[in-house]
Amino acid sequence: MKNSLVTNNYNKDFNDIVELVKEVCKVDEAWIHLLEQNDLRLVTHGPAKKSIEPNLISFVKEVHSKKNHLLIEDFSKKFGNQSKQISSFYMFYAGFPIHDVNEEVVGVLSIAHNKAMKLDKIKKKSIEVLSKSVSLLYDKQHLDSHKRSCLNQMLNLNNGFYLKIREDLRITEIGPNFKTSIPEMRIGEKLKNYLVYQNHLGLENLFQIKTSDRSVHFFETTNNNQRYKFSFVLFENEMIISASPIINAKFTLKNYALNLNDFSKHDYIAEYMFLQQTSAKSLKEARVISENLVKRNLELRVAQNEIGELSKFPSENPNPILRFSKNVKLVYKNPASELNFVTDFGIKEDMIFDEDLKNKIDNIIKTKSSTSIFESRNKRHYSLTIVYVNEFEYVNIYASDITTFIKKVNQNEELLIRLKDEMQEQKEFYEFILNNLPADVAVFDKKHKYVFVNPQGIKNKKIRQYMIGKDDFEYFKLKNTTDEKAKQRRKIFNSVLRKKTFVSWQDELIDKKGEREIVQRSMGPLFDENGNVKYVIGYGTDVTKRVLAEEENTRLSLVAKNTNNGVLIMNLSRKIIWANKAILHRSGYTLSEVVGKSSNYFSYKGISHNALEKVKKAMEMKKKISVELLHSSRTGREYWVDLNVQPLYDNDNNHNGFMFVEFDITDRKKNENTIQNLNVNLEQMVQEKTAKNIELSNSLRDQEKMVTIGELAAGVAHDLNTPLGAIRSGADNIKYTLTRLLNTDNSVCSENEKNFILDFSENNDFDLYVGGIQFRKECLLFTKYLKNEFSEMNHVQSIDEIAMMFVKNRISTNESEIIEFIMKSNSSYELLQFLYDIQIIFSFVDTIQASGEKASLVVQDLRSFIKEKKNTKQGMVNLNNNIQTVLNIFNHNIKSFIELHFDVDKTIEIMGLDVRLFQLWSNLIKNSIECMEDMTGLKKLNVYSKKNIKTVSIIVENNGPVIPKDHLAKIFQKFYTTKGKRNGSGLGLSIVKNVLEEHNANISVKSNEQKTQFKITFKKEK
Amino acid sequence: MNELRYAVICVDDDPMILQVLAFQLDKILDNKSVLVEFYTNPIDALADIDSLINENIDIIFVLVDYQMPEMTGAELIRKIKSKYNHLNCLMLSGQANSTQVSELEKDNLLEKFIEKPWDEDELRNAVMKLIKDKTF
Repeated sequence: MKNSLVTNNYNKDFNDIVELVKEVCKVDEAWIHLLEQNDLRLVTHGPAKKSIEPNLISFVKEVHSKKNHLLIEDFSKKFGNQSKQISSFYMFYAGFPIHDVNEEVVGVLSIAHNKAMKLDKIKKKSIEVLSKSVSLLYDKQHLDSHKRSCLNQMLNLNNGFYLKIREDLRITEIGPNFKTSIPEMRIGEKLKNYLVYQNHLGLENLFQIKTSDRSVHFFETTNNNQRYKFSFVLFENEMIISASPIINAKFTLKNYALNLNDFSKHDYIAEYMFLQQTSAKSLKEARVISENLVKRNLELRVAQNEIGELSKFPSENPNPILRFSKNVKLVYKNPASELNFVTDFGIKEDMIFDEDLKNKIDNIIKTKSSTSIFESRNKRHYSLTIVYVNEFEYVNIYASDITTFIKKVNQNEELLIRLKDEMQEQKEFYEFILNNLPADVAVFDKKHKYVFVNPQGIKNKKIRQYMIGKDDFEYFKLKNTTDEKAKQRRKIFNSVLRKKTFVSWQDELIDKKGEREIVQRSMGPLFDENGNVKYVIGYGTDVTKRVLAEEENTRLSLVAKNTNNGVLIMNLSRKIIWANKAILHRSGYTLSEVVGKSSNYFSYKGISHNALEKVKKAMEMKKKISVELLHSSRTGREYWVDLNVQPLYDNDNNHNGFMFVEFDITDRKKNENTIQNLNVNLEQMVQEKTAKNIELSNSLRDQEKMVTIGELAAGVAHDLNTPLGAIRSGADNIKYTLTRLLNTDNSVCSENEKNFILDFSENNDFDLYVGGIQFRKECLLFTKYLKNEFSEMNHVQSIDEIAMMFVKNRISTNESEIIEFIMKSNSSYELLQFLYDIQIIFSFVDTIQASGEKASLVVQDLRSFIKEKKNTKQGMVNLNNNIQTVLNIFNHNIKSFIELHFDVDKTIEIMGLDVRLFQLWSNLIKNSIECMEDMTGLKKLNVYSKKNIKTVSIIVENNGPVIPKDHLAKIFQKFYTTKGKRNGSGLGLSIVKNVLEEHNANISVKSNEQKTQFKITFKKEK
Repeated sequence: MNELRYAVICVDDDPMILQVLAFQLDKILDNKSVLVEFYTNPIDALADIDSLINENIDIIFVLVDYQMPEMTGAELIRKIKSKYNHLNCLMLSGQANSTQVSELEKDNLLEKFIEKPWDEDELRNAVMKLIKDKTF
């Protein structure tokens, strides 16, 4: 057994309890030992030496192992004379086991006194209660340690998505999964740098949210690609956020840079929160108990004092007080005892004749204990406290006459029984009335459980009895229907409780026969005498018939009022009693004008008198009739109606009037031949015409466009050819003139040198664009070379400069003859300079010639492409050449973007028009290039031929996107385009179709993931 | 020879254009100690830009053509800019109205666009503007 090393808040509580124990029991010392790691440890302060006193230790261990309280009232007596050598600090020991919630002994509360003493019942009880509060504190301590370990588990074993945050919202710890999913997150930075809290409060108010708020919260990363659900706890001034990532279509697993194994359950936090609540509750309980104990202790002391005071002056005490010696002889009795007590208990002189009391006193003396009992003698009742006084070996009896009190209690009891009977009667009376009411009545308690329900409410007696104490949810479950109604009623019930007023509503049910049943229900509070809601009563009456009738009426009157047809109701004497809006509006009269008049009031211009006669007759025979009539309104406007007359009957089938219903048929009468059909035809014609016009203008515009482009191109080609010719001949002339110029005499260099220059310039592979690094390297090499080979030479310029000029002229070190020739010249540097200039001029002339040629080729291709249509004579066309020309035109589009594979047999020739075929290829190739425009990755264009026995095919294929099947059928239609805004006329493939027809060829299209292929098949020429 | 501090990069798949550029830049740079490198292949140019920058050589500008094999000038400029945002890029091309070029300009990645055929003075002005605060 050691002193506990653990110091925490509970030690203070334990010490307080120990102090309390010492005070209550009036002992010198008290300790608490608690089980920690299978060892009993002292958790309270106390005299250090004394706490390890061997007797105490063994005593505490004994209490712990026996699991029961132990007492050593006198240490010296216990061991008798034979063990006098056993010394002890204390003569008195008492130990009480401390139980935890599972009733396991987890510690010992022990007390000791340096004199032998006895522990009375009250003290014992006090200690037991105090040891209970120790165990509550112990539980709290264990809950807290469990809480902490649970938290650690949560943080370490849970999903790893956790964060710790200080109150200033800076991060203090980052869970491993967050390190992966938000790698940029850093400790010490503010949370809002990474996460956006999805709540109107905003992130800065995170700490204001109560821990009890268990709702789910969300936050997203600042770049909105991660979303987390989180809950949190406040723990030791830090907030611990435990999150779990939301995975859905928007926030995919990839967004979090995690895999599925990184996620686990979220249970720890729930357990943690539960524990936190439980432990808080335990602590509160412990505190209340402690406070109560302190209070009771005070009361006890007051009582003790009072008793003490009284015992000093027993003669003045109004209650009987007696003292007996240990051989049960009366030693003392106070005057109050002489009133009744002495006679009641047969006490004469010093003898007690009441055997029962005598035995009790005897027993107390033997056990040296105390007791409180009730005794009745001679219709008088006493409360007796019999106390053994150790010091003097006496027994004191403190008695009080409680006869009047008992009488009162009995009286009350009788009254109560009578009241109960009355109430039962009353209850039966009310229930009888309620049971026989023709309405369903139910009474609920404040939890909406049935207290009463009458037979009208639930007809089956068994169910009715069963329902008492149950609620509607159970009722509907029993009836095997949905709890929709129960929810609705619970809502109403709650509002009744809240508002304390009656609420009425209509319940609609469909019974087993499929008929509607409507119940008018009310629910309201029943108050007790203090004005508080005691019960809630609900009752309902069947109003099905009434409601249905009302609904029917409402519907009918709505129809009658609002219909466009005129309605008149007449009574038996054929006087108008009601007319609807439509008929009044049409005739121009008001309701008050027509009520009470006969139907003739609406002047019928009976076009056929016959019709009116027919109506009259039918009415007499109570038959239905329908006639067409011409009316005249108040203003003289004429209108045709189809009049239906019908006799009316009341619910008991008694004839009680007539109803006139008029349909306005004026329009029909007026326009026997409607013009509607005509309109339809006209519209159709206009639509067709418009469509035709649009088509026409489209094709005209396209033709126009083609012509314009052709003309433009022809013009451009012509205009370009002229300057190009000039450029080419100009370049030729420059070269010629330069050569001649150099051949003529001048003083710059010798004849020999001139010849060398011309010769060299003509043959040298000269280029200007040598990279700077390469150039420098070569210069250094050349300098080295010159230094080796021509060290004796003396030049104005440095060897470096001369070497540079050699490199500039693209003369390499292995051209030793040339180098020697130059180096031997009088002015090597000037010669090199001159050679360089000449080479530049020659190279540019070459450039001009080549560029001019290139340009001329483009123009040629352009011209052959848009050759005038006049030249429509068919001829043999070489397909390889024909297609090559087109490819040249698209060269700039293909060059750097598309891998071109061109393999058309050079021998294939077909009879046809080369210009038209240009259009064919250019459309196919252009389409291929355009469809691949938005593609990433390698773009392929293959143009190749296939020869068969009777046919030749040219295949144009690309690896562009698939043409959907439903598009394939339409692509050869004129104006069909999928290119949208981008220069699509929709003409391309329809031109292709035309060209194919002209050449008796056909085309097939295939499109799949790998390629889209157009195959053009020509018949072979014989 | 002076220590090298500056370089200019020209990329065009047409040797004739490089020929002309070499001559014109030689005149414009007027014997200044500047390395002028020519490439007909953009990939080689990219590799050399890396090594020049590694050797702490200040690349004054990169002049590129638009239409080239392997990649377009616009793609080349995007590649260069993504690595070395400070490098000045000029484009010399006949494809003035390509969307790729206008997107480059929109993204502020192009210092100057010179349309082919070009005037030597236009090139000179562009180059002078870029070398004006360099010390040779």
